[in-house]
Amino acid sequence: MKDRQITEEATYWLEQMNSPVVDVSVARGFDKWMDADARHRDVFSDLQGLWDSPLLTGAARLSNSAPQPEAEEMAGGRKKVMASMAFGLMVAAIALLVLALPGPLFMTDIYRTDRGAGDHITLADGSRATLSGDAELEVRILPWKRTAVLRRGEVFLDIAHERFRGFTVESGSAEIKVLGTAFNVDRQGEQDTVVQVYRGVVGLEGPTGEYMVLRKGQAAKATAHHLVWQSDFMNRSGPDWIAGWFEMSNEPLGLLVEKLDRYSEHQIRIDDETLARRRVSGRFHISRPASVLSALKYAYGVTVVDKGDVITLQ
Amino acid sequence: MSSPTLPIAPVGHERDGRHDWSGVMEAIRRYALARRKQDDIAEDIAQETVLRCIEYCRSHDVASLYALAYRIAANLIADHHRAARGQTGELEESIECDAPLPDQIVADRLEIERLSGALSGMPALRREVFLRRRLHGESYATITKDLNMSSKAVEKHIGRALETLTKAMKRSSGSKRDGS
Repeated sequence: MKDRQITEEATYWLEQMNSPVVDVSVARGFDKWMDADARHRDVFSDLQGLWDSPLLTGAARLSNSAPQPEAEEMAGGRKKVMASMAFGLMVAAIALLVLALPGPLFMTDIYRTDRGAGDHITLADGSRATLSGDAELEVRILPWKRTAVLRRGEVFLDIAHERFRGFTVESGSAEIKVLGTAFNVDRQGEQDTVVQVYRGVVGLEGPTGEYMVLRKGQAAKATAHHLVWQSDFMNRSGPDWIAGWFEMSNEPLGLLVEKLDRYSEHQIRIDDETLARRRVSGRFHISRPASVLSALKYAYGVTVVDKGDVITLQ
Repeated sequence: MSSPTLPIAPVGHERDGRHDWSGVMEAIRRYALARRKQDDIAEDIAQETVLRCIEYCRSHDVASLYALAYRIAANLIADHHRAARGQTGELEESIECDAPLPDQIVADRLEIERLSGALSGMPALRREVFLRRRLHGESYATITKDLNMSSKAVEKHIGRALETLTKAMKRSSGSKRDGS
């Protein structure tokens, strides 16, 4: 039947296009399929809309917690099969739970990205994270709390709201407490962390217990000793670096080099402390490290020494 | 982690200025309607989405225009709800990301009940597969392993479940949807 076939194909694409990693060839195949027929677009849009709908989440939660009466509604033989299957599943689920404690339930997921390669991931609680290159994020989703530690790099988080289970992110000296919201955490060196909020509210706790509430469009930096407001930034739906850009206003060159390093296949270093502290301003296309480096050569008279594996600025 | 490709990735310039946006526009209108049944908003969301897509495509090469459009639309819908909530004077902190507007609460509750009714009416195995994927975010791989079935079977269960759920939504929406 044609309608059912379209739904089946749409379901296939829904899974493909909502997975954390989508290959370019798959993405193009999807557009081709969508362009081919108006009914494809209609059915897929209905499914994607339903899939994204918070109403479905509500219904699924309700259905998940409620006892299921439908076994009685089913016809004779099938009912038995389904009922015993359900019982089997229940036993299996309990067995799994027993075996799993304290296994997977308490497991920590560590996400690492290579230099030059970012990644989109969906966490076990449905929250989404976009990692920069050369980043490491450790995530623990427990039944009673959700925590993440950003060891290095940068992450944009879109946290699934849960009333009774908060989400906390640690990065350097900072601890960020989260409600359902979207924000960016940039780990700068050993201690410093910059947090920008794109949606909702986060609480930011500094090393000495100092506490700050950040709302949409606000940003702050946590250093080894204290918290500092940063000027409000433009409100967009997500940070620039995801699209490969970084905007600086009178900030140290070392910071730009750190960003470039995340995007570059080869390590980019700056050895000279004075040079690293030098202030620069501008909007840099950091996903193209080579062109930024050559721009720096001309604009700031920096010497770039490329030794194959390591590129050094002098 | 190996080097993954982001959904929005460089693929060359073959699309520049040549794409017919009407398909994307119609798809997004329909998507917005499926998210929440308000025709006026759906139209606005669709137009704004296409404008932003065109703007974005000027400076980026995009692998999937549709994927980009759905993502932009989802953000716009979320923004819209936040803005509407702002007008009600409720505190931002106390609200879920996609919490319903006051004037929609009753309608939403009915919708949730209808959807959960449709879920309850499904065969237990199908509901199990669907809840694992949608509610608990489990991967196909985990589900196939746990429930001892092929990934094709998982996909089929999810497809049928979605079919049942969209039908339940459409039954409820009456004349507001075009029903095509």
